[in-house]
Amino acid sequence: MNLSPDLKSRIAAAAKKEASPTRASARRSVLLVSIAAVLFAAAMFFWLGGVHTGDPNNPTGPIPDRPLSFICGTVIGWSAVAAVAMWAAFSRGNSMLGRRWQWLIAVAIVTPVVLFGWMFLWNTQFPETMAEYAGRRGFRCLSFTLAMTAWPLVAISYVRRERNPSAPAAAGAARGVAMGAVAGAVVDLWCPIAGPAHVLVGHITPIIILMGLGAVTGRLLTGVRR
Amino acid sequence: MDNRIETTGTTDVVDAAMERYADGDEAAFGEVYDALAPRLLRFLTRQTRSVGQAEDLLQETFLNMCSARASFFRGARVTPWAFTIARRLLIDAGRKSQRQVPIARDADIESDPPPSRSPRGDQMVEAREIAAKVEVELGLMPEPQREAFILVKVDGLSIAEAAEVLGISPNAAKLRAFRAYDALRASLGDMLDKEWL
Repeated sequence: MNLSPDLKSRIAAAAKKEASPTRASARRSVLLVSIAAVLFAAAMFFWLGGVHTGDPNNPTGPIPDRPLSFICGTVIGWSAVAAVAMWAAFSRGNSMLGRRWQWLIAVAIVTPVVLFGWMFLWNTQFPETMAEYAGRRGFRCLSFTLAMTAWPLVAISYVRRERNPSAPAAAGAARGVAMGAVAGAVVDLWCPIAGPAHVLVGHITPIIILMGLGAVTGRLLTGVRR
Repeated sequence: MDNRIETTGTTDVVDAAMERYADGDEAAFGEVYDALAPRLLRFLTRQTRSVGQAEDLLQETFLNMCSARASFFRGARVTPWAFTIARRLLIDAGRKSQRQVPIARDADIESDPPPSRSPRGDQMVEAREIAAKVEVELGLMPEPQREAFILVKVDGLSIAEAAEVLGISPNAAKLRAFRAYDALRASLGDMLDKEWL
């Protein structure tokens, strides 16, 4: 197969015009976004009052303190699941093509199920935490999670400068879920309610939303472009 | 079918060149291009039956690699990545044009003058006849088998690399390529070079 003489120079010229940061500059950008995301999340967390074990001032009736062992158990469990999900979603194995779509979809689907299951397991050990409270359906937790996670998800997808020709949407979905799980551990410290319905709406639903956002972001920002 | 290429030793060179390019050595782009472009263009031309369209897709493949060079991690292999990007672009182009892109025959894309009737010319004619028959047989094969066979036997990828490009396990890639070879051997018999074994 003969290459036309000017093809190389044409492609080289087009490549020079293409915005293509080096590895070092992309690494710096990822680091900056990560630091900004952590600082932003910490600022929000403390601005909203930090750790809440209960809420005696709840307008529809006081919310009793959650037992310390319950808080530790749920937060440590969520953190462990989030750490595994981060590794599974962000590491690419030993290939530029990243992990297979089946693996990524499994991460995206299994993670929220495991998180909910873990929380429910602790609910069964402490039945008083099953209580639901009127007016506290979980929309605040949902908003908090999304506010902490949505923009870093998009920003990191952009600055990592990946091109995933195999499964960009699945990779994005898995990353959205993993970042949502990390935020969920923080929100679990802040939120005094642990009833299953509240957890589903306030803690699991944002992870599902982030899965969708990640899929769209992955397809648009890390998919192969024409 | 004389266009099978040897890749031993070249993959490390192109991977090292891509490493340097990812680190900011702009001159290394030429090395990456020289090592990959002929193989990618052959792959694309075979699939599109148009040299012009193949060259456009080749350019897009390299532009995607350039813009994502920062994500190239140390120890990664550039060849499966490049072929998968090219394959993705090919699939997208096929979808856009709302038609299945048929496999091309060499006669559609080559415009070399006919060979002379010298002994060497006779060999070339024979080789072309065999190549044409192989192309016809390949065209009749199921797409997964044909793709695996072409990537391994024509484009010179290893089984592991072809498996990566196709998103399947190495065993599955090996099986597909073997089934394709088996079908070719059944229809072409002795005409098929022992080298394909």
